[in-house]
Amino acid sequence: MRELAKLASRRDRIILPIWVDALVGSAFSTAYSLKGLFPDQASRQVFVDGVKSAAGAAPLYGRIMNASLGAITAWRLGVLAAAVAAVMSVLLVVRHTRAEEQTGRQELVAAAAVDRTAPLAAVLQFVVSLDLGIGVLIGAVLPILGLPAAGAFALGLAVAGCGIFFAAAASVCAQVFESSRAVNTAALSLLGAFYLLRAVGDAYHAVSWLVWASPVGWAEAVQPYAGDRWWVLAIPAAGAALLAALALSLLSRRDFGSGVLAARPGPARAAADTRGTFGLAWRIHRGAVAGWTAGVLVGALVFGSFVKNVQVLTGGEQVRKTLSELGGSQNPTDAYIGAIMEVFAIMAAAVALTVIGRARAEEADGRIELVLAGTPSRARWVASHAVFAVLGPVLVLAAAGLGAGLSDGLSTHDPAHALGSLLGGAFAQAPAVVLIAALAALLFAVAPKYTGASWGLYALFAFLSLVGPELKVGQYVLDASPFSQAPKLPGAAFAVTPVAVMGALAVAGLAAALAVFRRRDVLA
Amino acid sequence: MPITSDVINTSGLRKRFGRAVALDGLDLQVAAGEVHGLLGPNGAGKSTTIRVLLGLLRPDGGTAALFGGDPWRDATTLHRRLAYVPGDVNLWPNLTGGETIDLLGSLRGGLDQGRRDALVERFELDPKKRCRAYSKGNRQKVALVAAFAGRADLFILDEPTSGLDPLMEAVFGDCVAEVKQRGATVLLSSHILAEVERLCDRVSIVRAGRRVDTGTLEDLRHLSRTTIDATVSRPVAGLEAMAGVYDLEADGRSLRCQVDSGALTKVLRLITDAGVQTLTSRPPTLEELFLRYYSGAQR
Repeated sequence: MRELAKLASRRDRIILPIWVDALVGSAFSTAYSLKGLFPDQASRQVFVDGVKSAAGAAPLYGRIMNASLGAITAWRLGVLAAAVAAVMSVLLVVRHTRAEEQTGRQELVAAAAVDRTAPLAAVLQFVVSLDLGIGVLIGAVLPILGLPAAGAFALGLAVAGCGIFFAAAASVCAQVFESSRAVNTAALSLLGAFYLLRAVGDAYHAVSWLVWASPVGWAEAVQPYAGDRWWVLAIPAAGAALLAALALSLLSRRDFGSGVLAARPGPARAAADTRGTFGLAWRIHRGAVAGWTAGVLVGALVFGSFVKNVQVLTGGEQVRKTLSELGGSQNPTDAYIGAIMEVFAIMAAAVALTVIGRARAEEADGRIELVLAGTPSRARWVASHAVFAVLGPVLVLAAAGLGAGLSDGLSTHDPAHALGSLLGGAFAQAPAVVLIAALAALLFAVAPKYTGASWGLYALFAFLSLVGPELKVGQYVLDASPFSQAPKLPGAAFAVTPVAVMGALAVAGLAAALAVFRRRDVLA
Repeated sequence: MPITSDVINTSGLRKRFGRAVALDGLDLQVAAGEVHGLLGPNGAGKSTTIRVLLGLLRPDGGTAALFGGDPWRDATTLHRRLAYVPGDVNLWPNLTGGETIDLLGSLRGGLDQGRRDALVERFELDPKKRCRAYSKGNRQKVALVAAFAGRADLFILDEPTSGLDPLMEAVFGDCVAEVKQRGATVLLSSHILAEVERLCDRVSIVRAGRRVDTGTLEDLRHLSRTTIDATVSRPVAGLEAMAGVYDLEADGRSLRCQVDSGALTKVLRLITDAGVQTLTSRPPTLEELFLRYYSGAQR
């Protein structure tokens, strides 16, 4: 079993450090930046009062307990980090259990001299120790910034507890469903439902007990830096133990490769929307586009609810300065809108890269041959995917503008004005996003095997836009990122030149991608 | 481009990938209405040839013609007339088999619903299953049903039965016979020699990116050696030294050897002179034929 756990950690040697860095690093950087933004008790108190009056804050982050730096850090981080740890745990467990079983690789292991429960036990052991390790690291890094160690470990272990609980929950789902995709969907939907459950509990005092009904809420209920309720950690531990026992017992009762629930049969014939090149592209991309759109819509509803309170929230001088650098305006409200729309633009660009990545997978896995051996031309094939790479992100931006506009408009009782200014802010980002889609498409056409490298470029652009202003690098470096070039409406004046240039470059890039793809070999 | 009635005509086709030479001057002629076997060891260039014919790869040299047209330039018009089944069938995991068949049909200009349903039945395919749950053989069945349910004039099949059980191989054979019956042309790349022997009118054998031989199986056999087993009254003299005789095993009154077709008359005369008691002569099996080609022995 130790060998199996080792195999798992070896197969994940690239992705694991990324998860650990993301969780521990964001804990450290959150505490660090909060310390810089709110150096004294007075500024923190202003911030905390502002947060308490913002309708969207409690559902997203949970309740803020007091005005100490530790409590603000725990508030800003706790629930989100717990959810991220849960996502990580689910993906890892599924990757090493049902996905292995589905591809048949695990038959090799099952045929060897190991107990049938050994692979699952090994994966659980591996993921649980990973979560605990992340919790301990969070506990270890926060005291570097002068935060008390007890609260830091309480926060770290609260995050780990949520991860461990969902690792066990995913292992149960892996016994129930036959396809790894169904398992991921089930476990992550469960996470989403529990996140919403505690959001409702945090939003409405009358049903605050709902927080206790959610594993994500347990992380909050530990209350790091506000009492450090250690005993709460026993709840996810006990829950995880029960679920793991259930998973192991289900595993020993079912056939290899099957699930407790048999896969449901699908349609025997293709519906009208599954025909032709564009019908195929629709089936390939609709899930990702719909998922991102829905996610961004929810996020925009939450962040839009802050718009009204920005003036209050940004009492501190330091906060205003940072915000105006990010959002391109002296008016904090406009700067805030500019800043969140930039973040949504970065998410929208991820949709474009996902679509292009899947188009490349069509080619690499040979499915493109079945299409091109039919009557569709290469131009048609490229167009069918490019449509989703361009319109998908635009749809996401529309969701960002619509969500933020609606939630701001409902709280200010002026939906027309709010929708206008927030939709404008969102769509001002479109040329930048489409330019990135075009760059990725061009890379796919010219160097198909390196299509994935567009994610590196994307990360660089996102980094320059989000962190660049604080790095004191030259403006020309920041200007390299399309995200920085997009006008920050409604605060800044609408600049025609960057929009026109980016738009023209995007069109030229897409045209070049098409021209190159028509001439090159189809490569596996 | 030569004017020809051949459905497929390539001459001197060349293609390299980096330093690896995939096609080294390959010639291939497939006449209208014939079932043509494309044979050769792994890596001989069979799939590369097919990809060039489908307009997926652009040749570095030589010419290729499909129905007299250019497979690269005229791809979309040519593809109205052909159906393709790849060797390694990868399908969309979230689509069911039935959806995939209809999708592939729509990409090829429609398919006959009645024949589609009949083929699903004959291949015993469950069309409601998601493709991710299909075995290799079932994925091949999906591609085969989609191909045979259309009315293509040319079928390009790249090792289409490598995952099928013998029963389904028989169904596949019937399908090939049916499309041949209505005048369609079939290019069949295969490793299953019994299948080639049963289905193909002519074969081309490729090795290292070149065609080493082409013709009917009978033609190929003629160029090859016959195995002779005989029991004789007294030892046969002079057989060892005779040109065209190979692998002679003489043990008193029984002998076995392989004989070139040119030397057959003389050898038989010697054996009858020695008082033949039993005699079997056997044409080379396909295995023997191909092993010689594949391993690169001289003809």
